[in-house]
Amino acid sequence: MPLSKKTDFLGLYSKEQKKIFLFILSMVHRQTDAEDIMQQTAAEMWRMFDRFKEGTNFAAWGITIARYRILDYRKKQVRNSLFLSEDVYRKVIQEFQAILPSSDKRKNALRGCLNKLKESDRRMLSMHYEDGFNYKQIAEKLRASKTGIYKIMARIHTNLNRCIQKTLLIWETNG
Amino acid sequence: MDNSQEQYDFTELVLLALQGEASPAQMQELNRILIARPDKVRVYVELMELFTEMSLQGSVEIPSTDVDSGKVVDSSTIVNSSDFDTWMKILAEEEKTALAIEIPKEEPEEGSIQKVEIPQKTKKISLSVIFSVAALLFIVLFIYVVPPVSTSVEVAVLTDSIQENWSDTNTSMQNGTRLLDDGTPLLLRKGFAELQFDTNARVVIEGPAEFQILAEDRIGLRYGRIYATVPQAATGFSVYTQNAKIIDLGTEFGVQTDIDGDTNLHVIKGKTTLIAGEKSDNKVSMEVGRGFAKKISGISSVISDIPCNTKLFARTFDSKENFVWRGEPINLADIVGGGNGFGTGVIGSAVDPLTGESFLLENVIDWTPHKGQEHYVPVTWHDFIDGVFVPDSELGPVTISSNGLQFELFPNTSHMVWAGVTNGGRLPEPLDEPAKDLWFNGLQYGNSLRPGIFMHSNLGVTFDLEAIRRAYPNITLTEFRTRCGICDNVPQRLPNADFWVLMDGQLRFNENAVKNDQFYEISIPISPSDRFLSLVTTDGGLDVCWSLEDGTPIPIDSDWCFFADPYLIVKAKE
Repeated sequence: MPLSKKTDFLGLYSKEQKKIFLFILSMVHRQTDAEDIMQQTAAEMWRMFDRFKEGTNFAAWGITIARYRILDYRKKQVRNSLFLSEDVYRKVIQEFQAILPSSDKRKNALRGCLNKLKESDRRMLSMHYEDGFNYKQIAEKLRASKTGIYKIMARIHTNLNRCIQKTLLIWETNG
Repeated sequence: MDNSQEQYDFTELVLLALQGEASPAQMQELNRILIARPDKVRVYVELMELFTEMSLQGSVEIPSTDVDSGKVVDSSTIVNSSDFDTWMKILAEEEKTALAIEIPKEEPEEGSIQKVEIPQKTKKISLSVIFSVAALLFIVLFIYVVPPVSTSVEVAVLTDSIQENWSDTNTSMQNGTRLLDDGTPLLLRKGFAELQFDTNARVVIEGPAEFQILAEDRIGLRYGRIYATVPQAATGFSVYTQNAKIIDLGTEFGVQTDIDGDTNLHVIKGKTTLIAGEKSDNKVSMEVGRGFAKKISGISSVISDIPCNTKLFARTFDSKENFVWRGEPINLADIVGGGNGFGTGVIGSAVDPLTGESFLLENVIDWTPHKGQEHYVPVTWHDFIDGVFVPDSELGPVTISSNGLQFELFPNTSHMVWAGVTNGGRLPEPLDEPAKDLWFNGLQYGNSLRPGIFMHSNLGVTFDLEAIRRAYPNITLTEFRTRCGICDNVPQRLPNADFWVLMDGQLRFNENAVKNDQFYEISIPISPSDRFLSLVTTDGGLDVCWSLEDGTPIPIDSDWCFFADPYLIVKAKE
């Protein structure tokens, strides 16, 4: 593949990867599985990049490819009880499409809301998202129970999401 | 339950699902809420987005400041310090002002003895690696670090084993045993084991080898040999070694790792991505395609080219037949010599066209040509050889198989035969001189390195492909490939012969009046329904001949017909 083509792919992928991953994550909900499917999807996108029509929606193209990967994944996991129902998946797709247009605004709002968090909450998030510790490891480091860490994290994430919702509402109200 | 607590509980369920730690009951609860509460579906997706934004490198960063001084610090320096009390106090203070949350004591998981693990800094959420542009530049969107496995599930099954000797293990390693992705080291001291992953990726492990099942699409190899056959649907299957990761891109490949850490990758089909190096700043990634092989030094992680060895790895085996296949084609000359097609036959062994029995050239005393049988002669001592016959249409269509298939396009021949259908060897000529090796197109043939079937006209032999399939159920016949012509060291007379190849009585190759220095490539695809493969030689007519002392004409003079490298090309059954 010519270098310019590679550059084109990298540019488009860098820009749109989040949407594709968010779609996958929303559909499979388990982080590690979503990462694996993202890997497969990205590899397939790269292989099929010659078929991508310039000027069309790269993210939508990637999501289409991802959907097949997800279908395969779900077929393989058909006996797995840790899945959401088909009805839920349909609703998830609808909501995913609904929040995409406000994605950039939500990202900006998140930055502000993170700054409003208490120091200890930020550190807790940092241990997970920046340093890569899972909840069990955080619990061990802090000599706390994993269940407790889940509850703390649940509170932090809930508050963050509320903050984002409120911020968007204020921005909308103020034009 | 107040509204806030309900929100927290819902978020906790989502986080449990994200981490893969939700129980079936918790997933049912999450499912129930999402069905009953459309507003929660929105929150679910928003939480997923929140997670994505904070995980994604180059996206939203989490500001971190020192509590006292306000300067930016690395949070890991706090948690790595011994000052846990300070940290806990901060947390405790925060929780005082938060809504009441009961933090229960941690209880060991029921029915299990928890392994004591030293917490390791696994990675900065792998998304950051997956999504980094640097990684993309190498076309590798994969991570080298093995993601942590939080729960163990069965992901593979031991489908077959042969000559196996497993080390003591908690897992009973019987055929049919389901294997967990818990990373337990498994030691195959000797023999072979085949694992089928639930993704349909299949690996053959050759002992001595130590390996670990890491996930449904990952296997770790500490040392030993692994051959992976990965169907398209399982693309992405990976083999981890101490210093490399090999990611399948729809392929077959073998990995050999020495106990010192050297890793050798041989790609037999398709292509792979190879990532080598232990630290992120010196990782190297490259695509390795079919026919190429790489060595990754265990000391320096330097990658170097090595010759691709297509016969190094056991690709499949059949414990019932005690058969291990390393990718070799099936050698029809070896079968003629009484072998299994993989080198167990006897060089210089032949099939007698008069009786169908086996004999050794070195034991032949009478080298006079004989009138052949007028009927098909079944071969009963080798399942793979259906029979032999003399091609001559003077008496009508010629029977070319035990089930009565006939072919009517052979010419009228002298019906004379000489020697037999022979697995190479040495032939006497002139009769009073020592036996001579067979030479074909400038190379010595008829030995184990360069096999061939010698068939002086007029002679035909039919192989039973179905019998071969029955004997080797794990492989598929795809093609018959050989080259034909007259041996170089034919006596100083004038050979003139015809070559024929039939499949189930249908003509697939024919070249008439072949003389010295004329060689032909033959390639015939084999379909699953093809059964009888016939190789035939006929004399080129009566124009070139000599006579016995009594005046009998010998029209088959010097027709030293030879099928060089007569192979059935095969592949592992999918």
